[in-house]
Amino acid sequence: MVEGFRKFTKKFPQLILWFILAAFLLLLPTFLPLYYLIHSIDVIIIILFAVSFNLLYGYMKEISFGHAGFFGLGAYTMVALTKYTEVNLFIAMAIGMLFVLLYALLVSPLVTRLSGIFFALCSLAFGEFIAIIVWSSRDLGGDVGLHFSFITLKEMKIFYYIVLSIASICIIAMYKIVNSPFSLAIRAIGDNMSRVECIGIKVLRYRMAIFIISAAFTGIAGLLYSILHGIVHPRIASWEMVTSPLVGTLLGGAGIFSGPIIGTAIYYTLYWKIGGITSHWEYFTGGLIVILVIFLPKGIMPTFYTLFKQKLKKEP
Amino acid sequence: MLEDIAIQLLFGLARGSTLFLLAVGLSLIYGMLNVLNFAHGVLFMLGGFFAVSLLSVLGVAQPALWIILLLIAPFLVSLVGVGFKFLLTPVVKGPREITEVKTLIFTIGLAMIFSALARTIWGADIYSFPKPSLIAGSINVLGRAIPAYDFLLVGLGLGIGIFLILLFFKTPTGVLTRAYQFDERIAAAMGVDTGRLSLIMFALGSFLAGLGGSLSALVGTVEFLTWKKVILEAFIVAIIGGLGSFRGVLLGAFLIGIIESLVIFFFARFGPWISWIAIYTVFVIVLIFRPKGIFGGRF
Repeated sequence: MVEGFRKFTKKFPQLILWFILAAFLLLLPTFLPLYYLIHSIDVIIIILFAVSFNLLYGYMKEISFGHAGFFGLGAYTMVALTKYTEVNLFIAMAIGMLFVLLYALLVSPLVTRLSGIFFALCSLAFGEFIAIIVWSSRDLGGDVGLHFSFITLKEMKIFYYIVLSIASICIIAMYKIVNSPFSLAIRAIGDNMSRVECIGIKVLRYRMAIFIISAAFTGIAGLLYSILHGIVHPRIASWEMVTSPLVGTLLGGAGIFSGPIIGTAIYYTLYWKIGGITSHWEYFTGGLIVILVIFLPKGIMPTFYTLFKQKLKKEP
Repeated sequence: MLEDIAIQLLFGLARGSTLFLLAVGLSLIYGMLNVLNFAHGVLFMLGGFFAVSLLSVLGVAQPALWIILLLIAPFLVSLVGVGFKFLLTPVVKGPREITEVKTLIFTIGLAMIFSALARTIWGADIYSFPKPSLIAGSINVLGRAIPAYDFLLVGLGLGIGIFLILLFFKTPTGVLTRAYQFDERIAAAMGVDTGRLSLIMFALGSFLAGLGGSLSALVGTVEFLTWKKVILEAFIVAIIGGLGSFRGVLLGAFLIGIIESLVIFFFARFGPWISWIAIYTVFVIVLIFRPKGIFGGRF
C-alpha cells in the first residue's frame, strides 16, 4: 500500500506535467487569435510528419527524401476524387490512404534493399516520380495546383480539435511501435545490419515494414496538410517538403521520440516567423543545418537529457 | 527516319557533355571523401552567374569572352569548391556509414545558404547573354541545320573526357588518385599526400562544374533556382555509372543524354516530362540489377 503510494508520488510531477500539456493544448483555441491558431494546426501536422520521418531516420538511420511523394500522393488522390467524382470526403481520404499504402508496398522492396546514400536517392527518385506526374498533368492542376475548400475559417476551432486528436492518436501509436520488440530489431538493424542478419532476423522484411508504416503516417499528415491549406500543388510532393521534418528532427535529436516533436515545434515556428518577415529564409534553414551538423550533431533533447541526469546524480 | 535518329544522337551527345561536366566532379569527390555533394549544383549555378557578371563588367570582345567563359569563371568556381572542401573536412571524420548521410545533410545546408546568397547578390531575375558570333549560326548536317553551339559542346565534352582518361590512366597523379580511391589508408601509409590529392580533385571537379555552368548560361539562362533543376539529374548520372567511378560517369552521362533526346523525339506528344519518366525508369532498372551502379567499385 505504502509502496504503491510512493510509486504514485514519484510519478506525480510527470503526471502533472502531462496534465498541464493536455490542458494547454485543449484550451489553446479559446485564447489564441485565428491567425496563430492556423499556424498551430500547421505545426501539429508537420510534427506528425516529422515523427513518422524519424521512424526511418532516427531508428533505422536511413534518410528518405521520397516521403514527400507519399505526403503529396494521398493529398492529391483525395482532392482529385472529391473534385471529379461525387465521393464523400471521408471515403476520398480512405482511398487516398489506400493509394499511399499501395505505392509504399510497391516501392519498398526496391528501396529497402539499398542503404545509405543509395537509399536516400532511390527513394528520392520514387518521390519525384509523383511530383513529376502531378506537375505535368493538366487535370491535376499542373504547376498551379488544385484549389478547393473543405473547411471555412469559422470551422478552424473544430478542425483544430480534429487534427489534434488524429495527430495524438497517430503519435501514441508510433510511440507504442517504438517501444515494442519490433522496434528493437529496427534499432539493431540501424546499428549494424549484417550482424542482425547473422542472428537470423529477416532484415529486409523489417525494413520494408517500418518503411510502409512510416509512409502511411506521412500520408495521413499529407491529407490533413492539404485540407488545412485548401490547395495541393507539386511542391508538396517534391523533395523540398522533406526539409522541414528533416531540420526539425536534426534540431530536436534523431532517434529519440520527443526529439522531432520539440525540434519541429521550435524550427517550424521560427521558419514561419522568418518567412513572414523576409524572403531570404534559406539563410536561416541552411545555416541551422550547418551549425547543427558541426556543433550539435545529436540535437537538443539528448543533450538536455544527459545534463538532466547529471544533475539528478549530483543532488542526493 | 534514320537521319532523324542520327541527329537526335548528336543532340544527345551535346546534352551528355553538359551532364558529364556536371557529374564528373560529383563522382570524383565521392570517391575521394565519401561525400555526396548536394552543393555541386550550386557550383554549376555559380559558374553561370560568374560568367554573366564578368561579361557584363568587362564587355564582350571575342577572344576575351572565351577566356572568361572557359577559364576565369570556372577558376573562380573552383576556389569556392576548395572552400567547400575545407568546410567539409571536420565533418567527414568517423565511420563511413554515418558520415555519408551526415555530409549529405550538411551539403544540403551549404546549398541552401549559397542559393540564398546568389539570390541576395543577383536577385530573382533570369539572366542570359547574346551568343557570340562564332557559335551563333548553324551548320548543315544531313540536310538539317544544327546549332553550332551543339558542336562546341560535343567537342568540349569529348575533349575533356579524353583529357581526363589520359590524366587518370597515363600520369603519376592519376595512378595516385586511383590508389587513393581504392584504399585511402594504405595509400596514405605508402606516402601519398592524400590531403593535397583530394584538394586537387575537389578543385578539378568544381572547375568542370563551373565550366558546364558557364557554357549552359551561354546558350540558355541562369537563375538562383538553376541548382535545383540540375542536381537531381547529376545524382542520377553519377549513380547509374557507379559513384566514384570515372568510366561510369562517362558512360552514364552520354547514356542519359542520348536516352533523353531520343525519348523527347519519339514521345514528344506526351509532354516534356516524359524524358524525366524515362530517366527515372532507367535509374530504377539499373539499381535493381546493379545496386552500386554499372561500374560500382571500379574506377
